[in-house]
Amino acid sequence: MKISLDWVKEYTRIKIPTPELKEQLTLRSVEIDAVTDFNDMWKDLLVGEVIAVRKHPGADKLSVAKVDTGLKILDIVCGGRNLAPGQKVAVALPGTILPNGTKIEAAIIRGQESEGMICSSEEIGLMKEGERHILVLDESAKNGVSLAKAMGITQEVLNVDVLPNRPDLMGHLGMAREIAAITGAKFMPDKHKLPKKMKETLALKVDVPDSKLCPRYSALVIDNVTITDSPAWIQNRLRAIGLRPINTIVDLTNYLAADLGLPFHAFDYDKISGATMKIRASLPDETLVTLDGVSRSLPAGTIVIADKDKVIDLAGIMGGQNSAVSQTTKRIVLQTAVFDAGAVRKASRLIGHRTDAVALFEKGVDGENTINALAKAYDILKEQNGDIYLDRVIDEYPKKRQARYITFTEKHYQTLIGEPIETREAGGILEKLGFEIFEKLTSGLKVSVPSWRPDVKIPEDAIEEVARIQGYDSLKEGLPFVPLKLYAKKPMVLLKRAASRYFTSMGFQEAVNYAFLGKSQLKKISANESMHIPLQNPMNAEQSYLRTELVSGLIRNVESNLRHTESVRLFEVGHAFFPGAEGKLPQEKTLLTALITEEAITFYAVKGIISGFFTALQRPDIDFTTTGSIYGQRGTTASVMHKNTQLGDFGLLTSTAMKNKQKNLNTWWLTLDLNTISELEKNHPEYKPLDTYPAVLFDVALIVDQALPWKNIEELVRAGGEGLVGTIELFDTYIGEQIPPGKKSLAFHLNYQSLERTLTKTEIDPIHEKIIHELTTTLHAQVREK
Amino acid sequence: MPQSPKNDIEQQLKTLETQLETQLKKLGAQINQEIFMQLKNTYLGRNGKLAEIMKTMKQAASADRPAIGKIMNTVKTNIEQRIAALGNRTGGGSTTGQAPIDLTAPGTTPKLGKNHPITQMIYAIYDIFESLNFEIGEGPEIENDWYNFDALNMPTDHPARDMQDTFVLPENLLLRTQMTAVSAREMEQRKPPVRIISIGKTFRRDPADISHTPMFHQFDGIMVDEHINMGHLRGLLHTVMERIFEKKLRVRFRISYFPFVEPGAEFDVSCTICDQKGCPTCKGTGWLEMGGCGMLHPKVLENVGYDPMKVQGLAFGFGVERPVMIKYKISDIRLFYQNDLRFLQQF
Repeated sequence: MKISLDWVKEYTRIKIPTPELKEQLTLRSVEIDAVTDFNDMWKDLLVGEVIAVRKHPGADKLSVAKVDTGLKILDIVCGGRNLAPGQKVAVALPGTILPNGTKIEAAIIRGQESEGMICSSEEIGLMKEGERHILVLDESAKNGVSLAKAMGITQEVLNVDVLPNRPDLMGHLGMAREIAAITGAKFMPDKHKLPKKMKETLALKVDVPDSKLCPRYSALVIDNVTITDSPAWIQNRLRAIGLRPINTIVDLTNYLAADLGLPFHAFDYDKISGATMKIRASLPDETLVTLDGVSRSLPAGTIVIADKDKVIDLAGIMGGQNSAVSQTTKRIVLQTAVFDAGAVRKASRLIGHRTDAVALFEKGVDGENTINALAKAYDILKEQNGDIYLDRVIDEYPKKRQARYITFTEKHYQTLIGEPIETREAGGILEKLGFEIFEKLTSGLKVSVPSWRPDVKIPEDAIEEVARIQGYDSLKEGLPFVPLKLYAKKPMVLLKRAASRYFTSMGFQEAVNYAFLGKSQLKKISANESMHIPLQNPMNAEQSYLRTELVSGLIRNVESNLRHTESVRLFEVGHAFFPGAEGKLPQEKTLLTALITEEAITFYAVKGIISGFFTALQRPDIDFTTTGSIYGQRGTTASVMHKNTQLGDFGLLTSTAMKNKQKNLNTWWLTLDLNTISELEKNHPEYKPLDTYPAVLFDVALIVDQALPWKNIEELVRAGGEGLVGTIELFDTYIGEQIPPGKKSLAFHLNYQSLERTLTKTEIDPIHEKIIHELTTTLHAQVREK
Repeated sequence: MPQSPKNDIEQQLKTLETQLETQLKKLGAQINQEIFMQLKNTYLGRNGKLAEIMKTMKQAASADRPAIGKIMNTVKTNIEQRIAALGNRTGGGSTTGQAPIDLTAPGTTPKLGKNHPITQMIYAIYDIFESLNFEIGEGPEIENDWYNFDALNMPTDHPARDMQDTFVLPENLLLRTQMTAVSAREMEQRKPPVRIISIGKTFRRDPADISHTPMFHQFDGIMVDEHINMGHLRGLLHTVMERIFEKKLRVRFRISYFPFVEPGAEFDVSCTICDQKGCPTCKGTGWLEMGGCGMLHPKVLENVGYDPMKVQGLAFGFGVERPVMIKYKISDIRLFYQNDLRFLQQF
């Protein structure tokens, strides 16, 4: 929303410099995004009068104008199609820098000297007003005067970012009220009254069957209108706030909307068939060609205005072409109405067309002000078009607004804000904002809320009004006294942090990926779309499902990183999403997935990382079982188990899932289900005395069947060790030429250890031999010669 | 069966690798510069063992040569790496070598993993609030209308509820658009006094550009008790922000509107980059926007089962990315989700 300070000054004095005003408004009322200073922007532009125009001798589309700039008469080459003698125009002298950065120089244009430029509106930072049209100023403008002064745009224009709860700031009147309240200046709204006499010869029946769609419909039927250009002051005000002047009526509606924050629309009375207007919800298959020439099919629930035969208006959004005011219009229906904010917003969204009117309606317009506003419109029009007369006033307003009262107390204010306030002071602020004091209470007030503040509903809202005008800056900072409490930490919170500590210490870098993925990613890991929750309104195909795993995102990360590095260790902790069973809510699981792309990494290394994780967590012993995985290579994948619960899985990614361009790189993944792990009870370790007596060490090498699990050997050794077996450490597994096919060689260190005494060889040898014997007989192991 | 030249060369290469391994085993830790150079010459020198085997390549059938070349390269790389590793040991970090220590030579750093910069910031924020006796809140990323909107005083026709802003899922569910949804869930589980900080992922249907990503992180805090006021809110945020940025800051509240607070404010801190002299980061204003805050709306308190006549609550919800970006002068938010190691490992 653009607010011209020239315009604001109609309603209040501005007592502080603009930079300070900008800051004060931003802190207390509404954010000011930007300030346009036309004085500065146009400092080198001035008014010139076109005295004579002749054709450019060397170019068809150019003319040469003689322009009187007050001091000097200049020859200026100009391409404006509307250039004519007698016009007052905006002249840029050599040396001027235009708002778009162009520097004007004296130049020879096709053999003709040009001593400056006659500007078009868009060249000086205004809206474009026609193809190759120069800006024509009011004839009263004096030659040589600065352009800003001649156009009456001497004050800054503010770009206001109005919050959704403040419809009252969508117009100059409301902004002036706010500025007056902030600066302590007097606010002087204008008053207008409709003429008492009406002709009442032009029939118009307005039917509003459902007042929920249109709580108030107000309009004037005005006769004997002449459509021409608006007076310069209206044109220039519209230009200053970024609008393009069009004609008397369109400009009037735009002017009043920007002035009062009420959307206006004008119909050509003679194009309304049957002299009836019905305001209703659209019927199936209705369409309307709107003012912009676009044919729009109307979704169900769109509020429309229809005459006897057809839809003529997309209420609250845009008028129809079939009832629009044209150059020949004589009689108009000038409307300002209140349409249901929700319905307007919804229709605007479904149609895909957002207008300034929509922006006003969705915030909520002040329905109390329609007649006042129409009276002002009538007065402005009458001033420029003395022959008009009012034929009829329509005002459908079945359910009048009920006054709303709010109680403000000093105590409540202090409780919420933390600072004391006196009722007198608070009342003063509220009155400046248009609240009326209805009743004085002990240490408080009962106030009525002005109709333009639909956002103020509860005492806290009134407290905010007072606090913000007082200035949030005066708030005294402090920390509250609170009862301390020992909070139980959530297991998941602790686990996530422990997990990221462990994995980073193992050289893994953490990644964070989007929670969504697309079909191509699903295909890569052979995942089934139907198992994924679809987004109903994804922004693109790559983000159309919620992920059920973290692997595919990390694969992408690894692939892109391999372009500039040789090995990658990445992990991610995040949610995976699963559709709920019939009638159940979806499930979210917190997963940890890590990917390792390295040259020398083996199954056992990955398994070791997982085992180490559980050791670091002091979580119970885990087991591993073989399982398959849709993205794991056969024979390389396993599940991490605790009893019968699966805690995760790992393996080598298939070449479909992850194509390694480099020769001997493999990518392993591991996934841990942190939800399940967080529920496992901690395995508090119990202190074991340190071994103080020396151990007896044997190295054993066995040849066994390839399928024989190491666990069987370990268990057998320990069982046969009479309680004297300490650590058993597998250090080599070998398959190769020196070993018969189908067999493997396992080498391990075997420590005999006692906590009570030094073991002797004579004591241990028989035990060891017995164990070896057991191994060879029970497990058919063959002892390998060293 | 007579050996083909190909098999022969393969055999020789294998033997060479074993030889090196055996020799290294024997040497154990006794490696110094001299031995290192010797090894290098013997195996990799111009007339070294590897070069000798290479010469026999001519005897192989031309069809076999690419395959042999491949094996040869692998072995060569292996041996080179093995010996180069010894070089490292004799260089920086070890005193067994004869060369004097060169302090300018790089140390051999083990590979380090780090948390994502966002996670680092999240942990830092948790730590600050835990020092202030806040509890950590957690909740689902898939939400329903109630917790994401209604409970937070965002009625059905509130603009923020438009499809444009929210990712919609089947069964009237959505991806949470703000962490206040989690605050609401956590409040509902407890009775005042409560102090909760909830940090997590939030989702909005914004196309990615330098300042938007469809997924981002927020930290949302609430504190409800019998005597909590807006001055406390300001004091708390001032304290916390100075800790986050590790700097003295000026702060300000600006009027703003969020349906779940009343009064509501936008919270700004003085620009840490230019010290309020004006720079592109603060767009010349000297202030950095951190996010929204205010006193919990009575409706919100009621919706989570509290009595607004008895307790008040302060609340704030800020982005996590923004302070990280400001702290490290990162200009493009998308970098956080591209997971390029060259980016991630800088923090």
